[in-house]
Amino acid sequence: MGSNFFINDNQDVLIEILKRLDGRSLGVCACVCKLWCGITRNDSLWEHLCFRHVSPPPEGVRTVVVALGGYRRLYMVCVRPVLNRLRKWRPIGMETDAEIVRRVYWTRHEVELSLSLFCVDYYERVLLGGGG
Amino acid sequence: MASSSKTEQKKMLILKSSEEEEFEIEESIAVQSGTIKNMVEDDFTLIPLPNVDTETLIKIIKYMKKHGEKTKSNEKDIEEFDKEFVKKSFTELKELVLAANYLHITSLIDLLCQAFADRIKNKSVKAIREIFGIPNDFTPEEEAEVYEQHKWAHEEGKEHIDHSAY
Repeated sequence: MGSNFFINDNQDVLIEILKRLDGRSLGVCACVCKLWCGITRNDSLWEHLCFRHVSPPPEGVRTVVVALGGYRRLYMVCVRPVLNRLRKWRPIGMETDAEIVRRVYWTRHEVELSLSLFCVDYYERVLLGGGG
Repeated sequence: MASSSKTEQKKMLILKSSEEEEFEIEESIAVQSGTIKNMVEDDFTLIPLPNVDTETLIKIIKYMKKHGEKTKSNEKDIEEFDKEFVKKSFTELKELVLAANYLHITSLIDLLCQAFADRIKNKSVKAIREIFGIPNDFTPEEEAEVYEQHKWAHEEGKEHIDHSAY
């Protein structure tokens, strides 16, 4: 008996799966088809990716992030570079990315730092760069 | 009035698969499914599940039974069970997630979605399409553009990309 399950007809399940992916995989999934491309553009997915390991979740941050360019941009500009650098320094046999992120990066301090960097990015782009 | 025996008769339900096979299950365990819980509240004791075939229903009942006996001491045991539970083919996982979604078993939906996510993590675009049977609806130009926009994702971890669809 073949499966009757077509994931594009079950978008609630699809979103639950995408929510659990890392940024790189989300980027790959965007290329699967038009529907997936559209869903990965949904900023709340990237919000979840940025802050899902932070407890308690930062409050009052969303309006700021959205005004500065959205969570997807926050991930690309601030979160991802940090993760890449942390990965380079990973000692042999250390944990997975998710564990590194949870242990090293995701404290309030780092969240605030990434938001500050994001402000700088906005400043450079919009005020100095004359738009874009 | 003398009380009845200590082990009260537990209320049982009958779940019926799409192939008309019937399975008896304690109500207290079956109500982990939101769908079944609603039907019980409407006084059903025979629960027809026309969307769930026998094979899948057996697995789901196994899951609910295991999770129905959750105590503080057997958490590790249940974790092991869950780990083994998702070691299935994509076809089986798809049937399960469809059924779990229909039955509103939140913990099982979470478990299955996490399993899907873990298994597609390093896959290529082509492999993901094959796993889910998704046709490529981009034109060649659109596909090139989308690929370019997400070049960073394709470049990163290029060495580890998995092209298999299982």
